[in-house]
Amino acid sequence: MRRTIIALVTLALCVAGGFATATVLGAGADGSPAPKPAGGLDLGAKPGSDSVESRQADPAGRGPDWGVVVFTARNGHACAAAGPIAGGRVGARRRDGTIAPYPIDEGASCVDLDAVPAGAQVTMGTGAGARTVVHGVAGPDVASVTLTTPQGARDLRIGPRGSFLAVLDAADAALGDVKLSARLHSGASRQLLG
Amino acid sequence: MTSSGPRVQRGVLLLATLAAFAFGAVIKVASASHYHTNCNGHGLVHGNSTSDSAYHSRVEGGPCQRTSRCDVGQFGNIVSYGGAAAGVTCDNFLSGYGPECYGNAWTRLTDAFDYHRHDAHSPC
Repeated sequence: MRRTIIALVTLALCVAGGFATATVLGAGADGSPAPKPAGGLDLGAKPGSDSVESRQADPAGRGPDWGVVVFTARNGHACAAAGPIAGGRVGARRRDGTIAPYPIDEGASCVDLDAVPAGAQVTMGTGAGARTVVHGVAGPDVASVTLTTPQGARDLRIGPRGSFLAVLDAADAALGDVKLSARLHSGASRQLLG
Repeated sequence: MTSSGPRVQRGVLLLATLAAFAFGAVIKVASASHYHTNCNGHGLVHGNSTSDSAYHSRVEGGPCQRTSRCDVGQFGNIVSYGGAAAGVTCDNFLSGYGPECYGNAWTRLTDAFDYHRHDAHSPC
């Protein structure tokens, strides 16, 4: 009986030991408050590298203009974040309708333009008046970026630092409805989204 | 024969110990802590504070270059959906929707890991 109890206690301690070991090893993946996983990508903005581009009005004329903040990450990636503009800065809308500045020191949608010609992301909010937002950054090999939704196809304007943006009513284009392609100066094309 | 009995018992005990240790580790990994790496780093990025109600759902753009999903929300409900092209860090930021400890991030990386949920760094 005593042996059985000792064996069970030993097994329980081993399970706990395995759990604790995995926890400690996992903490190395993101143990610090800053979002920089060990061995991961250091996507925080290089100080002074950010600028706002691709400004455009809200599609329903409700609320402030939208834009893209473009910056260079500490690891050299080209980064972009899209959102409504408040006080000259791109932000994210809170539940109460106010706008929080986008924390670019914590990274955003980033891409290595030496590895791929362009980066793109689509984001879709929920609730009344939700927006579907397509944004990204194109490298020097890209000649044009074309957005296709159920409403049709159109080229997006590419900003001085390569950013592009489309803000749509989510009722007109859901996340899965969005297709985005890039045509390169070489004549080749790349499907980015959809 | 009489001497092999304790040896076998010791072997069984060692195996059971190792199995129990591995079981504990597997439980921890399967429970999907707030951020981990499978091909690419992904999960809930709390940023400079774990209690400011501002956090990201994120799937890093490399080293594996595939399309990804990064939905973000609160209390188990999605507030914003996100999808990114191959090679791009999918980043979906949420601020001011409630206590960060109830924050959630849902992530997927094509051909690497299926859609799954991450909770806050310090869940309520």
